[in-house]
Amino acid sequence: MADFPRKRGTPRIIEQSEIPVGPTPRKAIWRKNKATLWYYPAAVKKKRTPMFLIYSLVNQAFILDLAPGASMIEGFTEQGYDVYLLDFGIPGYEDKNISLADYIFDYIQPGARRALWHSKAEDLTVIGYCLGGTLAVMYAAIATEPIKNLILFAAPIDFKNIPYMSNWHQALREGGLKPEGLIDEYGVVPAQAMEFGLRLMTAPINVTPYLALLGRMNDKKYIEKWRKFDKWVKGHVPFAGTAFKELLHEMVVKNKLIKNKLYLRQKKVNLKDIKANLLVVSTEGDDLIPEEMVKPLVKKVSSRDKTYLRVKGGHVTLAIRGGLPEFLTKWLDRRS
Amino acid sequence: MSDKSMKLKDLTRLVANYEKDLNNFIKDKLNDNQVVALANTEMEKHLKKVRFLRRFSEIIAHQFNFPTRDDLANVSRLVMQLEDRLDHIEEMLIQTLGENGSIMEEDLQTIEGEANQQMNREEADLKAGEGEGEKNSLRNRVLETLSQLGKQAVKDSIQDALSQRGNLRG
Repeated sequence: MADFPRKRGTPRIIEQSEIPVGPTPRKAIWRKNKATLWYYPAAVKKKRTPMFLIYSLVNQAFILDLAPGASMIEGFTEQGYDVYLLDFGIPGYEDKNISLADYIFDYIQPGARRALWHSKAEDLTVIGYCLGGTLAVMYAAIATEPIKNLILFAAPIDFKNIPYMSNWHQALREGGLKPEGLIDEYGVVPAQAMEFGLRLMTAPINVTPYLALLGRMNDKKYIEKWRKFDKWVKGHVPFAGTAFKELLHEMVVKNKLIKNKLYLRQKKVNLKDIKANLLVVSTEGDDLIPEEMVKPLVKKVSSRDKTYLRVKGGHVTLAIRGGLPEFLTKWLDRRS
Repeated sequence: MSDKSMKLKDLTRLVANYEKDLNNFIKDKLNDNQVVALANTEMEKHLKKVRFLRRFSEIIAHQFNFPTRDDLANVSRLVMQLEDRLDHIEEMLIQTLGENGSIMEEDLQTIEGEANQQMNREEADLKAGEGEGEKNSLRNRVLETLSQLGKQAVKDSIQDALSQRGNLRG
């Protein structure tokens, strides 16, 4: 970045140095390929059922532990929960053959088993964020491990009515858009392509965050948090090619998950097999994963105890607001 | 509140409104069949170029005896397969230790004790044989080193098993 001359006394807002994220103490208890299962011990353990967090494949998991006072993980540990976070890491070209089934059977399921062994708990609360929520639903449907609660934040499940880029979806369905060759050639969908595509779908022009920053240029704490969030916004990771193609064809085009037609390693992913207490959350300002992609799951599962909540905020607001939202604390209190 | 910050707040509000409209306008324009067709055509052109470059680099790598990206990916996959197997063995071990009540910590300590006694006996035998002369000194040193290594390996593996067991039982 060019070092522009600054007016004397003006603070340097965008530093070139790397900004640290993830302040909550943690320990890696299992690693596989690029994935890590992190353990965040409770400050004072008060709850029996530990949290097993599954983060998305699109971006980096540090958004769940951005900064002190802006961390959902910190919120859990302060309330007495042991937390296990499955961070898939950053895939490389060599990971091009990883499929959705691999993510479920080779990463999430063994990760959950490790969390159970490590915590010596009888069951788990599985929490999925965004696409991690979609994976959490697939896992919950085939799991042999005891899952007490399943919580989903902005998890896309039903792709029937995606309220944006309708002609692109139609072209994908009818064969007018064929990205498979290029994905195969690259092996993985590059991080820049992921960032560019998602920006086009949500907000191609994004100036207001910079104006907000300009308005609080003397607030060091705000600047630090802004920089950390900006690091996450621009920190997309490559997407394994095989899994991406499956996501496009099996989920976006054929919408197999909500229709109970998805098979992973010859095993049917039947949403009726989900019996855990279910909490599904969507946010009003989420342009990427709107309500119609999230809510239909509630009717499809067998859980007796199921709740759907629509709350204020954007796609990641709940993760960085700091602490736990009141509705979550109340919901978990009676079930952990 | 200063006049300057009020102006900035007004500007931010104004920009936010225009930004939303502008973003909706761009998304509308992008959601056009012609744009989709153009994107598909450009993707195919790009694919041809990327494919050509890959084939070209593979020919060069072959001539100069360099490994290609696929060669390295294949090695990585072999490492991943090994990692999978180790992971599987580790899972089985944890499961066995967790399920089998007969393998208790005391049993592991008894095994460690017996191994130590055996090592000590071997050490004593080695020391007793030291007076036999120069010709045995090299043999003795080798045996002693092996004995030390073996002792350490047994100790380490028992320590590992005990610590895993500690994790399981708390």
